[in-house]
Amino acid sequence: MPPEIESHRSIEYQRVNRGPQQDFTVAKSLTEEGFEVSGLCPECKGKTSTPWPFGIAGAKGLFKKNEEPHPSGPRTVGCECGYAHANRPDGLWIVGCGAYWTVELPQ
Amino acid sequence: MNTDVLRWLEKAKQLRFEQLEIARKQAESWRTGLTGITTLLAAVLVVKGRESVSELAQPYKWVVPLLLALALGALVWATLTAVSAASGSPSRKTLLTPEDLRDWTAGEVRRIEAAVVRARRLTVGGVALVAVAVGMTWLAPAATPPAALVVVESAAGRMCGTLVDTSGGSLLLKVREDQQVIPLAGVSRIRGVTTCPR
Repeated sequence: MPPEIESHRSIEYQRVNRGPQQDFTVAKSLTEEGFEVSGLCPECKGKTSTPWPFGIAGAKGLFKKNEEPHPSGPRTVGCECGYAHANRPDGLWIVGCGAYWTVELPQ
Repeated sequence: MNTDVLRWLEKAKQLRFEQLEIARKQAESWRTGLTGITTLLAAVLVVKGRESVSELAQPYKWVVPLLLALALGALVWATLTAVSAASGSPSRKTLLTPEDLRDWTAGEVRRIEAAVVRARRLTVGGVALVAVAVGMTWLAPAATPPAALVVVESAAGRMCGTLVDTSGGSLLLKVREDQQVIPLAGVSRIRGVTTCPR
């Protein structure tokens, strides 16, 4: 994949569904168990990177089976370019332009 | 526009930064639950009728401890199930994406519903078993004391067996499967023993 050149657009914050995206890298995380999604936001063109770790939210009952999870299929990711976008609501955890899209998890 | 997915996006992001708090809270809940289990053991063993079940007749002598063991098992299982429903079991199998979090939440709601029903049934069953066990210790017949084993020395010789009766000037002694009648007039000595001498 060629190196991504960022040319960020300072657009207003808007919740936009950009559908499935192919130009994103979904790789196994180097720092923790899980994946890392990175690429250029299709809306504001800012560099965005989202970690998807395996988290403690999970619980499989009292006698849980020790199965390794194999998640697959499309997953939604939001723009986390980190730039200030006008009209962004306060208190959001995801700092971006409001665009979101789906990427395929690697098999 | 589906705003649900945006809420799940935010929730997944938030969870990523609250892992330690979640783990600590789960640990606290499990600590409390496990402490409760140790008190259960004392409670089940203290709540019983007679001081000792060893005084009960067969088969109550074995049925009561069995019922108490089953009750303890049911109550322990109920406690573990309830704690698991309340705080979840620590696991790192959920990918923190909106879709995985949504699916996990739906599954967890179903699991909690089933766990609460199971915990309730196990608790009622456990308490009922304790009640039956205690009732048995009150109402079950006591074990009859073992018959006296004696050695009888008489004119006919020395015989060892269980003393059955004395009537009509004779002594009735059960030696193995036979019953021996010994005239009392000829008896020189009767002494109690724990086992018959060879």
